This record gives sequence, structure tokens and C-alpha cells, in this order.
Amino acid sequence: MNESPVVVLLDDDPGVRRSLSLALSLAGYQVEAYATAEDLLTGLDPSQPGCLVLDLRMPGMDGLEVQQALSDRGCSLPVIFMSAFGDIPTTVRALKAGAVDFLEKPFTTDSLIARIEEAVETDRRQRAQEVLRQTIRERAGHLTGRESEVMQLVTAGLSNKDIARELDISPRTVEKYRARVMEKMHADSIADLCQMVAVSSGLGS
Amino acid sequence: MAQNITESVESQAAAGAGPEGGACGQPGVASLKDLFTQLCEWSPIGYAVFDIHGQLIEINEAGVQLLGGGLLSDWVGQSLWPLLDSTESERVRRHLQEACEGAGESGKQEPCVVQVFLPGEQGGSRQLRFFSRPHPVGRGRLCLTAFQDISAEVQRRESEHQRQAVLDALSAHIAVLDATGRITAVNEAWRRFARGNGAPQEVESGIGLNYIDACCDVSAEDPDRLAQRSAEGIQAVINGDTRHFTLEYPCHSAQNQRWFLMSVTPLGLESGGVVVVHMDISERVHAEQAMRRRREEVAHASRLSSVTVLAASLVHELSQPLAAAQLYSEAAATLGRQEPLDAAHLLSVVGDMRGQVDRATRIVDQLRRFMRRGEIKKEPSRLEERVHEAVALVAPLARRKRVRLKLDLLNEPVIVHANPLQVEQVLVNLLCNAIEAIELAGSPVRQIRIELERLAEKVQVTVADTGPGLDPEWVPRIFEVWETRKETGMGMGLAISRTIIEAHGGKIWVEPGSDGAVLRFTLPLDHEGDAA
Repeated sequence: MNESPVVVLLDDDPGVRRSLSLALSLAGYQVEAYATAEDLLTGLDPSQPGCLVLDLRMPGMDGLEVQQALSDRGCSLPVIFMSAFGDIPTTVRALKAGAVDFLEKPFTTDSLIARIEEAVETDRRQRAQEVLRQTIRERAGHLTGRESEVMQLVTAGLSNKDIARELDISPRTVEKYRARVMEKMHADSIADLCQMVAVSSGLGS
Repeated sequence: MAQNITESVESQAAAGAGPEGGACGQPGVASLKDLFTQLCEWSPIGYAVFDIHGQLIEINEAGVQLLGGGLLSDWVGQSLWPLLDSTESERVRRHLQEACEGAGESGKQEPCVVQVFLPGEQGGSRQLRFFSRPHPVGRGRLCLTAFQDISAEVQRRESEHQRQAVLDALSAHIAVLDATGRITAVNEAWRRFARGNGAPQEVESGIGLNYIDACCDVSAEDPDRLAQRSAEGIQAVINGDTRHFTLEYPCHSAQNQRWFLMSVTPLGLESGGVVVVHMDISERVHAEQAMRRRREEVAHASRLSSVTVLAASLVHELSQPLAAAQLYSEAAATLGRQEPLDAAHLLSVVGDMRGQVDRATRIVDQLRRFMRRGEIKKEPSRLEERVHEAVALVAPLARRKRVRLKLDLLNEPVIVHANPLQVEQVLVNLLCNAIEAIELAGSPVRQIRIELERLAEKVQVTVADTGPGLDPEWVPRIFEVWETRKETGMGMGLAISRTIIEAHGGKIWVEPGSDGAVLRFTLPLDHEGDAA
């Protein structure tokens, strides 16, 4: 989380690969460059933050296939595609598969850096979100079955009275469970708790 | 009267026989007279005495024979008029009259040549030449005439005239050379051409000049060795090494582009010698050039259409070095602003940038070369270079479609006499077709093999793909215009490829019975190029 972001490059063209590495290094990025998809899939550490810059068309495995392989492994690093002549169907496929951006070659270093910044920010947010989700799930893991039920109903917007009727317990007991849920989940308010439930179920942003 | 005259002729002849002759009774003189008489009888020369009216007074036996025969006595007192047509009669009459009147005395009177129609069964005619002098005694009334048969001479002269007239009537420039190469005769077209080329009048005909030496003289300023080759060709025909030698060569004037065909054949004489004919073939060459130009126009249009197929991959190919150059240039700017300045690093980046710009330039050059309107001429050209150029153009498309191009070339250079662009175009067309076939069929093995094989006198080029192969029903029509199963293109690629290959003296065909499609073509080897 505190590691500095790494820009991972994939381009089979040595000229493009070397010039990209140089430009990004000079801009202060840590760069990891690969010539083939296979090398990238072997060498990449998905836990390191950053983003991927992939050439769309390559002999052997192309950019789209690399994107797919990474996604299959649960790697969610944002992808920027570089292409010389991207046709519409390929672009649509890439975007559907979660590409952040497209750059047509040739491009300026600045335009690439702007996109890398966005992608790194996206990655940072995604990672923060993931950490938050993990924390909420951990806390929720400490709830008893009854406490979980109460949390579900509270966040669904039911009043204590309704919950008591639903669970066939007294409103005072509901109040007791509710206080314990708030405490275990480190929630400051009902709104806070709602947010946590949304995040853990993947709805929150 | 006739008898008198004969006597006086005889006495005159005896008197003229020599100063030592003296009296008639001496045996030596008598025998000399006899000898002259005999000579008159033997010789094939007619001797006669005519009077001023053209009547025969005397004639010898040979003369009678020349006039068609008969009894000598029957001829005396006759004239020649029945043997002559009216204009000839008039000429002879005038000739004899002038001779009688002394015109021939000064030796200035021209002989008279006439055609006589022979009487009797044998018929026919002959040419007689009359030499006449006034009669020493019967001056003013009589003449002495000798005449001979010159039919053979006339015929020879006529046939010579006829030959010259025929030669002169021909538009080709013709010269006859003797066995040493000296010009012995030329025709009018030859003279006219020499005049047109500003030859001095005295050498206009060139007669007496040695043709072979003249060729050797100009060979110093003869880059294509045309003059030298002519000299060698003429010598070969003179030596009997060959029956016929031909050479096409350009001979442009300030106004016109001209081409000639030189042809050398033996004269067929004991003494040797050859006939050299230069024929103006400009019209044919112009027509051929026009045809080649049209072919190149179609080929050019087809190249442009190939480029549309290659365009996307070429844009991709070009964008790589441009992207790299852009990034290097910005990196260089960043390095230039850094303190302290690392000049070595900056320069190495600039060098890398330069490398990428060069790479882009090469791609543009290749494309521009392929797209330009080509030359129509053929030249000795290395076939493997043509393969490399074509492969360079198609390689980006092949990479994009993940098709491997496998080259199986020869170790030594293969030189063909060809139009380089057109040969590359055929290869590009075959390679694009192969890539498309592999792509459409989604073939698991994706490879195209390009192979050169040297056969006798020619080279065979094979383009074999791992696609699904050609439908056998389709094969017979594959080289026809508009026949296409592709969605892109006009179906002209293979038709134009065939036109190109055939115009180069080669063949193109589909090799049957293979898994993938195998297309082959041949081109004749350029032997002169080999030697050079």
C-alpha cells in the first residue's frame, strides 16, 4: 500500500520499449518492461501497485489476451492500451474487459503520463477499497448469527419495532443487539453501517 | 558494182597490211591476206559494208549468223529494216548515214546498240552493237561496219541494274561486304541514311570502307558494346561460324527515337562476303513500348490496390518508430534541462532517436518506391533482392496475422532480366493472397514458404502456404480478370501477375496436389548479367 507505483510495459518493439522506459524513468516512474506476454505473466507481481501499459497487437499473445489472462488470475491492475491502428471491435472488447484507456501511437510523453496518473489513482482507490472491504468483512466475521441478522435488517431500513416483530424478540433485545453490532463494526452511525454493508457486498465506490 | 567495191576494199586492206607488204604476188602477203580473211570468217564478229541507205553491200559469214543465218548471197542487197522495229530502224539508219558521211572518222561516233528480231523458226532477238567508219573509197556513200552480239553483256548489265533497282527500292539500308569486311555495294536507302546522318559526300556510300574496322573504331564510346557485337557478328558470318546474325539497337537522332535491326547473312559466293541489312524497326519498338507502358499502368493501378490491403499494417509499422522517436525526443529535452548536464547520455538518446527516424524513413521509402509509376524497361536484376523487398512490404501484415514467412533462397545471386517493381508486385500479390487464405481459414499452422530454385536457363519461384488450398474447380479460372472470391480487391491481382510474368518470358501456375496452395512462376535467367 505504501509502495511506490510501478508502470509495467509490454511491447515487442525494442525501440518503443526502450524509449518508453527511458521517458517514464525520467518522469520519475519505476518501470518494468517486458518484450513478450509470457515474460510479463511470469515476472509480474500482482500485489505491487501501479498500472499496465500494453501494446494491443503483438505476435504471439496480444494485449487483449494478456488482459484476459491477468483478470483470470485476479489481477486488477488498470490497463492502458497502446495501438497503432485500433479498429472499433478490438477497442470495444478491450474496454469491456476493463481497459482504462487507449493511446494511439505515436503519442507524447505527457499524454501517456496523464493516463498513467489516472490509472495509478484508480489502482490506489481500488486497493484502498479492497483494504476497507477486507476490514469490514473481518469485523463482520466477529458478529454472532443474531447480530448479523439484526445488521441486515437495520441496514435494510427496518425500525426496531419491525425487527422485533420479524425476529420475534423484544424491542429492547433488538436495541441491545444493535448497540453490539455498532460497536463490533466500529460504526459511528447507521449511515456509516449502511455504507460498510454496501462496500463489503461490492456496491460501494 | 558490188564486185568493184569488194575489189577496192581488198586492195585497200592489202595496202594497209604493212609497208613491207609490197607486191600482191609475194607469198607472205598473200598468206597474210588469207589469214585476215580466215580471221574474218572465224571470229564471232560481223563485218559488213553498208551503203548510205542501209543496204548490205558485203557481209561475212559470222555477220550472217549474227543476223539470223541464211545464205550469204541472199543477204547482199538486203537491208536490216525487217529485223528492226521502227524506232530502232530510224536509229540504225541515222548511224549508218552519219558513218558514211564521215562522222566516225574522228573516232567520235558512238557505237549503236540495237535489238534485232531474228527471222526464221528459231526467232528470238539479240542485242547487237554496231561500230561504223566511213568507207575509205566509197566515202559519202558507203561505210564499213563491225558488229557483235552483246546480248549477254546487256543481260548482265540489266540484271545488275535490276538488282540495284530492287535494292534501291527497299527501305532497309543494305550493304554488301567482301570477305575482308570491305563495303562493295550499298543501296539508295543506305546512302540516304548516311546523308541524313551528315556523312561527308565522298564517304556517303561508304564503298571501300572496312565495316568491321569502322565498328571497332567506335567501340570505345559504346557502353552497350553494340558496335563490338556487330563486328563480332559480321566476322562470325564471314567465317562461316554462323549462317545468320541479328542485333537490335537504338540509334536516336535529335528529332526521333529510332531503333534498327541489323541482320547479316552470307552472300553465298565462292569469294565469301556477306549482306548487311539494317531495318528500321522503330514502329515495332514504339508499339512494344506503348504496350509495355499500358501494362505498367495497369500494374501500377494494381500495386496501389495492393497498398490498400497492406495499408493498416504499414501504418502500424510506421507508427512504431514514430512513437519511439517522439518519446526519445522528449526524453532528450528532459535530459537537456537536467543539472548537471549528462552530455553523453543525451547524445546517446539523440542517436537512438535518429535510428528510429531512419527506420521510419526506410518504411516510407519502400512504400513510395512500390507506389510510384514504374519504369517500363527491364534490366538485369537480382531476384533475391526482389524477394526481400516484397517480403519487407508484406512482413507487417504477416506479423499482424501471425503468419510466418520462411525464405528458402539460393546461396549464389540469381540474376533475371526483369522490371524489378513488377516482379516484386507479383510476389506481394502472391504473399497477400496466401496470408488472406490462412487468415480466412483460421489455419492452425500459419506459414508461407518462399523458395527459389535454379533450373536450366530459368529460375523457379514457389510461394506455398499452409492455408486450405485452392478449390480444384476454381484453379482453371484463377488467373482470369475479375475472377475473385475475395471480398476485397478487384480480382485482378493474379491476372496482372500472369500478364507480368508472361511479358517477362516466364510462366505462372498452380501446383496441383498439395495441402495448401502452391503457386509457382518462372523467369528466364539473364546470362549477360551473369557474366558481368
